[in-house]
Amino acid sequence: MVEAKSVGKRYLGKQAVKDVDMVWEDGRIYALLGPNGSGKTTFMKMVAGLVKPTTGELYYDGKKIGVESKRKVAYMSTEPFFYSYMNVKHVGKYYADFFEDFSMARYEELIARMDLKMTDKAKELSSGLAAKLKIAATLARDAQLYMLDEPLNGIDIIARESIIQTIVEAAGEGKTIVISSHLVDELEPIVDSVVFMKQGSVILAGDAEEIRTERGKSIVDLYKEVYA
Amino acid sequence: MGKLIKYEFRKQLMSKFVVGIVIAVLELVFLAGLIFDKGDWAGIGLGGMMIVAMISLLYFSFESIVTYSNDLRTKQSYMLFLTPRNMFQIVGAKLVTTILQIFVCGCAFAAIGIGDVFLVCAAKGDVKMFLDTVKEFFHALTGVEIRLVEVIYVVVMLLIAWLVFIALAIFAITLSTTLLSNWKFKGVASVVIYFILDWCVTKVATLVTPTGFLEGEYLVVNTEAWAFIGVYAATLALSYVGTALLLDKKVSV
Repeated sequence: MVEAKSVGKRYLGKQAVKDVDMVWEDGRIYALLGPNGSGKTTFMKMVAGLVKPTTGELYYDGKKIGVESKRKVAYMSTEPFFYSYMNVKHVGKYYADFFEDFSMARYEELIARMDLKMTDKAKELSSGLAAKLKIAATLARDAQLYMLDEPLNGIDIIARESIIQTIVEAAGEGKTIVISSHLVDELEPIVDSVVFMKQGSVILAGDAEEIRTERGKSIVDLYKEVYA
Repeated sequence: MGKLIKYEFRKQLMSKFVVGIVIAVLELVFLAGLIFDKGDWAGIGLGGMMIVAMISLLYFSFESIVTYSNDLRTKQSYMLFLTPRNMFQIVGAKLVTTILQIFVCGCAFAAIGIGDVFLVCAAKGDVKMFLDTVKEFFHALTGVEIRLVEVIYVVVMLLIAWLVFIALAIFAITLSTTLLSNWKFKGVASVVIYFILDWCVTKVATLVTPTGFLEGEYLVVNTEAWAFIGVYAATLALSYVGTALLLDKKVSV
């Protein structure tokens, strides 16, 4: 589904992503792991079509990232990004206007489940509620690929479980979910594959179960070992 | 593209709302002056509206440019660039929104102004005299009979020059974002790039019109005059295409 061939991104004086080769297959849940500055967000943004690679090639379903891939890819950034005039209802209408796979009924259900109100102003929400709004808007799409950048940031420990449950529910037949997070212990039970990134490069990638068996340790322990 | 235009307009709605309130207050002052026969109130109302209208139209143009800059600079850019729309549609929607809002606001201001002038004339019972005065005023101002082709030329020229100003500014912002993506002073750089581009366009326009199209103080709509407009129209097209291509191939938000 997503194929990266020697993909790199260089900003002025900084190599954010370096020579990444990667394949994300249909129907799997991926954890994209690494500390701040490891290139996770830049890589996700390249797949979302927000950032253009400096080198290499990036494909979605065999075609270069572009308008067509944006129809099928739902990306949730870690930062708030809704227009300042918007309330929760406006956000839903905006998504409904631009994404054919967006379901307003599903959005309303998620909004209710996340203790949000349609009249809440997006820019006045607490960080936890703002994160929930981003998750609701993203998961109300019937996308083929969901990329969630730090979806649990700002969300309290009680709500995390229900968020993770909602994310898993979205992983229907053939859907791919990519989650980047520092909270590896919360992700480990649900992910099929893991990708470890460091200083812009992929240093380890593969099936989570195989990695656990080969290395004889959990993903959490491996994470501590790699980034300690 | 309609939905893109709808949200472009929505992003810039607040300024129209504020201007609308200010105009409404000034209109009330004007009407109160008319009803209570207070000439100074009516003058303040009418004069105030003229000043607010002129400043607003200028501000709306700058607001379009600032909105575009914010669309590239802030995280709100994701709202726009995650949508499955090509860059020609996105840039086109911005230019069309700018034209539409200036046109609609300009028409609204003109309608209010004309309405108020007629109210004054109706109150004083002298509409015909007013219209004659307007005709004499224009005749005295230009000293010549105004021909339709000159009026059309000036209107087209003003419209294209104004659109080129906005399209070039947008292109300059896109260029600086492309070339200096992580540089702190890319805002200043885009202003410098704009002035360089503007100088180049003026230079080319001067080169294609070596003998000029003025006779003394008066405009002559000859081939060179249309060539002059042609240079600006080509600049508009190139800025539009250049901006869309840069956004599509190079710009990261």
